[in-house]
Amino acid sequence: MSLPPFEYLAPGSTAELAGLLAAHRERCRILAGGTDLVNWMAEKIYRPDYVIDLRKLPLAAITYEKGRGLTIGAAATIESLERSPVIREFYYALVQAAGQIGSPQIRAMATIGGNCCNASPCADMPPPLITLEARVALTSARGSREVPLEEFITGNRQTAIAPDEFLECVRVPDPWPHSACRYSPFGLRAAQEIDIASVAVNVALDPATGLFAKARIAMGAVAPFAMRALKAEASLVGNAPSGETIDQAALVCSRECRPIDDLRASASYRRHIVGVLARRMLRDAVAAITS
Amino acid sequence: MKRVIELTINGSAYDVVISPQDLLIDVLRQKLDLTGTKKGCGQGDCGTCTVLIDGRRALACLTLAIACEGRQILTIEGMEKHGVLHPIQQAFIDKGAIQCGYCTPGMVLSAKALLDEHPAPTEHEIKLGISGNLCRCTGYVKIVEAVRDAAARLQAAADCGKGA
Ligand SMILES: Cc1cc2nc3c(=O)[nH]c(=O)nc-3n(C[C@H](O)[C@H](O)[C@H](O)COP(=O)(O)OP(=O)(O)OC[C@H]3O[C@@H](n4cnc5c(N)ncnc54)[C@H](O)[C@@H]3O)c2cc1C
Ligand code: FES
Ligand code: FES
Repeated sequence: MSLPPFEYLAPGSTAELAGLLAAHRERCRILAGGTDLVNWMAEKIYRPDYVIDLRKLPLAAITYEKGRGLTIGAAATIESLERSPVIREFYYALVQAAGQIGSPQIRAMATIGGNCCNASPCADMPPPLITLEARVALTSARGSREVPLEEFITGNRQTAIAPDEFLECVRVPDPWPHSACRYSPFGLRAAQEIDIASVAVNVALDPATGLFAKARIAMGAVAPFAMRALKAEASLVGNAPSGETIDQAALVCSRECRPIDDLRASASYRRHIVGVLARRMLRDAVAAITS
Repeated sequence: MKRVIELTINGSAYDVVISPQDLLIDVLRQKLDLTGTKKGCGQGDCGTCTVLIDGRRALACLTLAIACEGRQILTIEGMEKHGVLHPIQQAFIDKGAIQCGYCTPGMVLSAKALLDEHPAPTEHEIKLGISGNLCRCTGYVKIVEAVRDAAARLQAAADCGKGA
């Protein structure tokens, strides 16, 4: 395997990065961990004239402040997320997702920014991030804007990023009161596996009534990009977190998803798995809140 | 455009002429004759090209050599010291954890990354630690045993060092 030729740039500041992106636009590609980009260049899917490496930029910090939520720098590695004590405490689904990605080597290299920008239907970070109402900060020489991740990913390997923008960080608001989030992918083996389906849930109970107050469910690998299960979410809110309510919501998830048949699994098997995962994750989340 | 970069590999500085698109695996093997690092799948799946960069596991087949300037690269050649194999290497030999040997350099470096962080890993931690390294020969049982044995050897050496 050899890569097509390109010029390599490693800017020392985000201002310099923004300048390079503005100058080279479609002719350049950002390099973070390289776990997707290097493969895609090898396959000649991308032939950038310039590869702009983020490695010298201070974009890898993970910070949490009550009231302002969590900020994950775009270049934070999946490994650093998996190991972050604040993420483990307040956003457990992200630890579950990070821990499932690739292999230890891939997790040490791959970044959250790359996972969101690569926008694969099977990417593990978007489903839990979407249930947590994550937003991405997109920066260019023109300024900065924030977009909900749900709107940022627009299709299979498509995002709303402009050619002169880079993803600076992912912001996740404070967890809802009395809430818990959970994520589970499902593949055919434990390591180095591409999911055949995944489900993330984030639910809050009303402490007075004990009923579901808020619910978000996102499903991965069963549509061109991570999709919300809006009907299933609506079926939960206002109801008691009983086995019956959860079973019903899980059934609605398996009807709502839009899977395809491919070499890894049939569409009907994927629907079945989505139902199973949704039921398990909802039960786990409810148990975590009530325990 | 070709250029000269300085790479620090196993503690030594190498000046090497590269193109920006050259991958670390090819630079190690073809330009520096450090052929201990193996190339398997070339796409991040098999782990046989595993090296440590600044102490963290990295896949040399997905790493641009030019992006390694200023960083510390450890390859299998850097494991032995003064002609003595590293305890992890010796444990692999003693426990029969090597058959064809193609996966071994990557396995040994994954084991090193694991043991640097978890000097006394559980069996589960060992399995997770080598989960990114495929072996077509051994069935992994002997490899897990070797890593456990290496942990004990390193621990004994550390205790001995403390006593001295
Ligand atoms: C063997 C293997 C196993 C894998 N397993 C999984 C898995 O289980 N789950 C999973 O979700 N993924 C998996 N992946 C895919 C990949 O590792 C992840 O998507 C990873 O998070 C990508 O991050 P990166 O930093 O390596 O991205 P890169 O390869 O550096 O970049 C990916 C894309 O995003 C763009 N980009 C990166 N950062 C930014 C930024 N800050 N701003 C704008 N654009 C940016 C790049 O230009 C490129 O187009 C696997 C990949 C391999 C090779
Ligand atoms: S050769 Fe690098 S992972 Fe297989
Ligand atoms: S010993 Fe042959 S691949 Fe592991």
